[in-house]
Amino acid sequence: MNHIVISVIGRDCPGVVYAISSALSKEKCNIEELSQTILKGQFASIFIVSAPEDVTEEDIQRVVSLSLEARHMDLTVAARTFETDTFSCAEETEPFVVTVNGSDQPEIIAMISGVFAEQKVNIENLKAIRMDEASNECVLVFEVALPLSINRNAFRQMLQAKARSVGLSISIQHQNIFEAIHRVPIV
Amino acid sequence: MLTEREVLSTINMLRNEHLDVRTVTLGISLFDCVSHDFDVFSYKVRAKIAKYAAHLVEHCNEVGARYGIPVVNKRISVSPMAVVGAGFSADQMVRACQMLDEAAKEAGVDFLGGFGALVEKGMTPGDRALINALPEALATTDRVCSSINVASSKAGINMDAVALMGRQILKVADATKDRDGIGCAKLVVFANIPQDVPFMAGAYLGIGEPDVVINVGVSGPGVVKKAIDRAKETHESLTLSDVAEVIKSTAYKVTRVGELIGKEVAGRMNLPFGVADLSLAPTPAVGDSVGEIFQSVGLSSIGAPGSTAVLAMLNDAVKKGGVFASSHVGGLSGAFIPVSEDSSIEAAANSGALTMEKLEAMTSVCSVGLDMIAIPGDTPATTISGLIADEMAIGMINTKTTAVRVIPVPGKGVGETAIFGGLLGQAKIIPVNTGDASAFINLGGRIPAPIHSLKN
Repeated sequence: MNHIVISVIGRDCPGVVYAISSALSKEKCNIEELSQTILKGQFASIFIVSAPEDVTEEDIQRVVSLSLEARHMDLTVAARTFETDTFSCAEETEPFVVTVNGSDQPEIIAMISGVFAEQKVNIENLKAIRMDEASNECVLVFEVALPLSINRNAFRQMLQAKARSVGLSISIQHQNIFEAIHRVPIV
Repeated sequence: MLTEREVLSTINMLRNEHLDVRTVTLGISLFDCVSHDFDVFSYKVRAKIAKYAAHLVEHCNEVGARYGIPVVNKRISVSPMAVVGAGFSADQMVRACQMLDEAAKEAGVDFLGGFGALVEKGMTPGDRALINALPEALATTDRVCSSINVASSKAGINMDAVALMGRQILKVADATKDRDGIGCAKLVVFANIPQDVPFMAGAYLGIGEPDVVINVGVSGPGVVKKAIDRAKETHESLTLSDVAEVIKSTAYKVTRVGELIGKEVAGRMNLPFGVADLSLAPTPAVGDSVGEIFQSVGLSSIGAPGSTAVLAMLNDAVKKGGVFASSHVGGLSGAFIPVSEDSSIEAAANSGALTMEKLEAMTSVCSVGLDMIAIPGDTPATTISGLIADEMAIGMINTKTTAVRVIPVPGKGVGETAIFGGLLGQAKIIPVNTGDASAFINLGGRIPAPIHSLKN
């Protein structure tokens, strides 16, 4: 079996997942994992499928695209071999949440993610939320995996200095606090 | 993956609603320090406090930074001094208090509680020595707090102790007259004092408690008020059932924060976690007030008719949310109404909307009691004892904790302001009923323990 990763992105409408999954099942591909999201009416998804040996990435890209076109759905498909040697942090990490807010500026995400890249901190989830169109107020929520070897205080001070230099507020908190406050513990 | 609402609501609670952990209190038993020789006792106490409290402040700050939730106060509670120092004279008790004050300063904590006695049924020479030492002890120290338990539902009220405390409160005020009687802000008279309170001035480590333990006091009146205000904006027909639910859910969140932080501090210090005390404890800061909650629920101010009902609902909803959030809830757990420490309650008392009598009525449904109330400096000792006796009776009959922390401000009368500063705030002096209780108080003796059946 081949493992193939497929991404589909474009205008959302009812039937998108059916168009993709039915095309895959016709090719005898099994969807092993998938994730999808919608942002301002745009659909984006990642499928990891196991395909018979004789089915290639190009075949999959073609059949899924044809299935979408046949239903007049305006989405782009990309497929590639699923690599198993993906990034994983060699050392143990802790989940932290970095929240940045203030007036929206073009360079905020690049500036904050630059600090993460430099320190080898992987961003596991990122959301940019616009609070209020009129005031241009935005909030960025980075969920990051912070390696245990990073000095927490120095990291905090570095981020705070960056944020302060462009007039933003920033909070750096362990993820447990959000779960403790909002979720009943899983037993 | 966290949702937007989870992240934004947490950030809001933290940045705009004064969500914090009010106190992490390190309980230290002094029973193994006991000695007939004061110097040996003193040496052992200093060594034990220094050993366990050396890194308390540092650990609390680190854990606070990790979660982005400040631990506002770090404190120590110790075994009741009248018990562990039972053989000491009043002069030695004063020295013991000064020694504890130095230990507190060395550890960097803002208060140390436990310079107290349990005298609900009778007094030992040690209890008497400690109570006699109070004026000098509290005047010559800054950080030591004292609690004297004079009543319980099982033992009744020790009226001899009530009479004595009336006189001692006046003497403590007089010994600190240059600072508006601030000594009395560090002295509370209790009925049914819990053994594990982390909040001052009542904190002490009871005799059934572990050798060393971490207890946590969570607060958050600002968070509760904002949650009620938000519910009013989003619900078209908000009823009190909805308000109680909002308070309960909010108390759950606040308590979870306290427990998480308390357990982590305890883990880092390799000590057991005792209890989370979920009390709505205000500070003088605007937006961190219990009194403002009354306005959010629709009263003109705390003290208006309906206040006792609001407080009953608030206190009960806080407990319900808290007990689900933490496996070990203890201490006082409820809502505090300390007049000088809450800008909104202070304003209501100042304007006459909140009187001593209404405060007393409200204490029948909330934790603690007549708290941080400035009264005229010329109030007779027997009147103060009368106030204490009434409050103790409420606690004794209702099987709950009640307490009195009043400050007779030397040389000042009704309408004048007493300024204590910091967390203790400031207060206009309010009138006390001028009826004479002297003949009653001078009878002495004990009010017998109440019957525990035929409840009506």
